Amino acid sequence: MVLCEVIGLSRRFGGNTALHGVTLQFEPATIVALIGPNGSGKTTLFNLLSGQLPPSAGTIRWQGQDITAWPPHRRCRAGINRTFQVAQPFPDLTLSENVALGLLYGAPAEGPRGRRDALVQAQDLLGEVGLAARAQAVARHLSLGDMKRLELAMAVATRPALLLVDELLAGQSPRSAQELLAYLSRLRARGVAVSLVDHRLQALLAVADRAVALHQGRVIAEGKPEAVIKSPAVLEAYLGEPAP
Amino acid sequence: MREGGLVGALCPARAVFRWAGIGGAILAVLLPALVGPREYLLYLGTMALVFSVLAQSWSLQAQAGLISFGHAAFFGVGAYGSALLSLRWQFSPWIALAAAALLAAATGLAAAEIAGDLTGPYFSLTTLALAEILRVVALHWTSLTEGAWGLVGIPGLPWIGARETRAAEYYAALVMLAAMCGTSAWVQRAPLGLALHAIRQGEARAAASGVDARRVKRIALALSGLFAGGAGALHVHIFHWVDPASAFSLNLSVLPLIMAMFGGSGYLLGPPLGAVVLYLGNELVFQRLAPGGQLWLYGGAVVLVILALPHGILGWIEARVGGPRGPV
Repeated sequence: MVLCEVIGLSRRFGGNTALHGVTLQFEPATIVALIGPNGSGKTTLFNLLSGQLPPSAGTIRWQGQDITAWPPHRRCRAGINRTFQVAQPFPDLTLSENVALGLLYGAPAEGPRGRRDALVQAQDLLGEVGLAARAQAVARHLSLGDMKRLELAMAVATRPALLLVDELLAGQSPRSAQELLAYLSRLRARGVAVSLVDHRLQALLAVADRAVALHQGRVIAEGKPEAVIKSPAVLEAYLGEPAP
Repeated sequence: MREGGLVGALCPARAVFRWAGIGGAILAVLLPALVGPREYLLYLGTMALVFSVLAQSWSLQAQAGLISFGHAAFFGVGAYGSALLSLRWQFSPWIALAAAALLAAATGLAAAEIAGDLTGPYFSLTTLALAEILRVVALHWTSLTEGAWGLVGIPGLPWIGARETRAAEYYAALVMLAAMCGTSAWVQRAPLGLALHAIRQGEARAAASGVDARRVKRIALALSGLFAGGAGALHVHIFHWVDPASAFSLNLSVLPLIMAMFGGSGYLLGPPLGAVVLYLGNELVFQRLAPGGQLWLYGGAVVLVILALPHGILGWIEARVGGPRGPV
């Protein structure tokens, strides 16, 4: 079953084509690692999927429906959510309030009944990412690593069916990176499709079911992580052409 | 009370504010009995309440980062709406007042359509222009509004079993302020309040949490328009006249902003406190100290306080009494 389908998606910034006719599919309960050098279009793809940017060409289908023109809040409610590479929680709200917002507005069907209820549920979600003790702190005082965890809790609060995770492991210790990857695996077990972008390739490929490699806005390899990482096109994209 | 929400529970300052609010409310209810026959004082009290409603309504939309420089637009629509309905079409002033407040709420919806996608100074300047456009319309649509002559002889609010009195008008304003503060308190505790703060702190991020920012802004501007328009309508039934220069005065756009900031626009009691202190301060103190030059004193005092107390009087008190958290 296909959850989300990207067909011929392109995005130009002036003369620079960040994404060039990308076609991809996301299935439930699958972790897809999105790899590629800096500037290969990974974050742009996330921005197009979550609706932060409109595409220059192409179509995004969600459970068979064309959602290319949908605004971000509507995609969020439909089940697409993401974390941001540059963590940007609401600085003057507490951690609970940051998460409660997503519970109240992002998952209208299954969401909590009122704000009090939402704050209680938020506490549980913060516990899942290891931030329970700081639930009443104001978000601006968090460390970078904790902000990333908060980002994850905020995204999970909206009950996504497709979760786009951008550079979550930056600022995490090796141990907490393992915890977060284990958490993502648990989300997969609940049926969530997860797409991961990260610079820690080894950690990433260890949990991924599938890998997609982007280079200069095009898909250059796709398939089993170990096969993708060894494919000549990917090696060339990361390391340059082999010496003659 | 609540566990560390927007209104932060552990701050002793909040308890102080609550008791101060209850004390202020009791004083406000008893004021007519306390001042007795001195009608001028009751009139001052009524005007202070009208400005409190305006400042509180300004503050409601400001929570979403919608800093209006044109709040007079809502006040003026309420004022002219109620004046025309009761004077030209002979509606009961009470019905006219309610309808005019709804008309001002519709103006809020229109403002959301026109300026809702704008942020920061662009929104502010567009609201300024909106109030100015409405003033010019009121000035030149003479067949309806009598232009610069204004409308005179607007009926007062009828009271059951009694003629209109200053005390009755005072209580009408007090009820309106109570409704306004009740609405603001409800918003602060409802999901809507969280959404307003989220939009102010990051509109794109709020959308990623599922918040339909346009819709939330529409609700905020409609509520703000409803009460500011109600204040304008009440005003014309107290004064029995209205003209474009007074109903859409720049003063009515700037004062709510200053009063809310002065009291502390992040607090429920901040805007009414700022309105009462500034209005009565101007009328009772500055005008007597320096007749004719009172605006210099008034302006200077406002500038000093806002420079010294960026979160208003209540923010200053909270920082002193204890509370780790500034206004949100």
